[in-house]
Amino acid sequence: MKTFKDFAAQGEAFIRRIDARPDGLAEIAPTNGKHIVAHSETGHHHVMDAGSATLLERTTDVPEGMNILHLIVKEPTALEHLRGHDTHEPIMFAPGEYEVRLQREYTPEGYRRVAD
Amino acid sequence: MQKIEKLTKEQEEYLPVFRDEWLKVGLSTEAVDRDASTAAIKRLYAAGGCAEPDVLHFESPAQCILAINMLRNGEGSRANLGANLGANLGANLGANLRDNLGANLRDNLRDNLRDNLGANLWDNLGANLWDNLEANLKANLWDNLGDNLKYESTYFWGGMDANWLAWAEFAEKIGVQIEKHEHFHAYIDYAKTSGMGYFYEGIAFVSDRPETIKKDDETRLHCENGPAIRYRDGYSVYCWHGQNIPADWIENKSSLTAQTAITWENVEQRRAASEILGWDVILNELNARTINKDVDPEVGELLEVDIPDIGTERFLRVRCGTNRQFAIPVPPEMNTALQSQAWMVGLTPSDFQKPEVRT
Repeated sequence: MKTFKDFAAQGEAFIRRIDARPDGLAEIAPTNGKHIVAHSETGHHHVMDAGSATLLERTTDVPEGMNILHLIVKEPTALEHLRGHDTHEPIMFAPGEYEVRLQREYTPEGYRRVAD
Repeated sequence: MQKIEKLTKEQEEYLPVFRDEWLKVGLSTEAVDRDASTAAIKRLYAAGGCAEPDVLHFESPAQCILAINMLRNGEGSRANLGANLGANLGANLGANLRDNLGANLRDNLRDNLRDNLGANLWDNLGANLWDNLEANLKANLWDNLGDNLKYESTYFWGGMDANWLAWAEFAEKIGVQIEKHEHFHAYIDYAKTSGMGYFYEGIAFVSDRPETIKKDDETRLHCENGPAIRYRDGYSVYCWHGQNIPADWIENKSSLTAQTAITWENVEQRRAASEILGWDVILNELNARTINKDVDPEVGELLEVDIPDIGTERFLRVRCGTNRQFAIPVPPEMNTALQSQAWMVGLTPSDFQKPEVRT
């Protein structure tokens, strides 16, 4: 399985390892034992086992059109993409803290999160 | 009882044959034999300890959902009939009937199969059937029904449940004792005779199977000149290599313009639209100019295009980890592909680093 040290991307989720946890984080409850790290309107979420990590969302200083999440990974666990075709390969996370930035895009009316 | 550790040679040889039998069930486009289906539903209710239901057959899951909503709201029926059925429809038997088939069955199998054998069986049966049915047929139908109707959920997909049914049935064939097996067998019988089902106290709504299922050579739902899934009442789902798309893009091809394709909100549908039209056509029609092109196709190419009624816009045309091309609109002040990548994730170019892995 793919591993990384500091920077990775799975579909629209851009991941970087961080040293210091910022303020203004709110915990997100898992769904059926999984953290939905990147929600997809067609159900093709990017998920992580809730037993191995805690998921939080940044609530302050978030750039327009973005969601920034934080993962506190307690034991090695993978980020998986739930789609049967054109699946983004799973990526293994080592214990540590990570920031997950969900991609945004431009429209003349304003910035919005990339929807899939 | 000792856990089963491995398969005999005969069992191993039988595995792919068994899998293909179930795949045939899951992808069947044969019209449902309503008498056989009704008998199976009655058996399923009885096995779950529920009173015998009235069984209503429909030509598609969309018709089932419309009927359920009409009856629930009392529309299109005499008031008292509506009220009666409305009360009954309050009790969705899904959870009740599903309990023995879901978690209980899984625990049962886990207790009796060695981990590696369980995983091996899942790889050989479940995963293969999963790709064909759950991830494709079920997911696309679920998505389309949800988009178009006041969605009514169901646990019962009939033959399309082949992925987990095959897994459990094979385990039983090699010696796992399944608790409450009557219930399990009744559901197998249902899956082999019926399409999707919506089960309520005293009444069951059952769909026919699709009339058409079309796939590409990677088993993704796909059809370039008609629906990828079509039921006998005309309810259809259009797909481009696994991605649900509006019917118009296939049935009325001239409705899909370069402008529609490139400005479509859902990024996967935007990609599908761009593939249907062809990237060359889009870039040509929108008079695309390259502003900056990175050597790495995963960083991409920054393009400027002219969109009628909107004006000049900039897009990053980029390859993702699955080797597909996407177009992401970026602000007009972007000057390089790398700067656009950084903006897309809310970082300055100096904070941005190319990911070590991109999938």
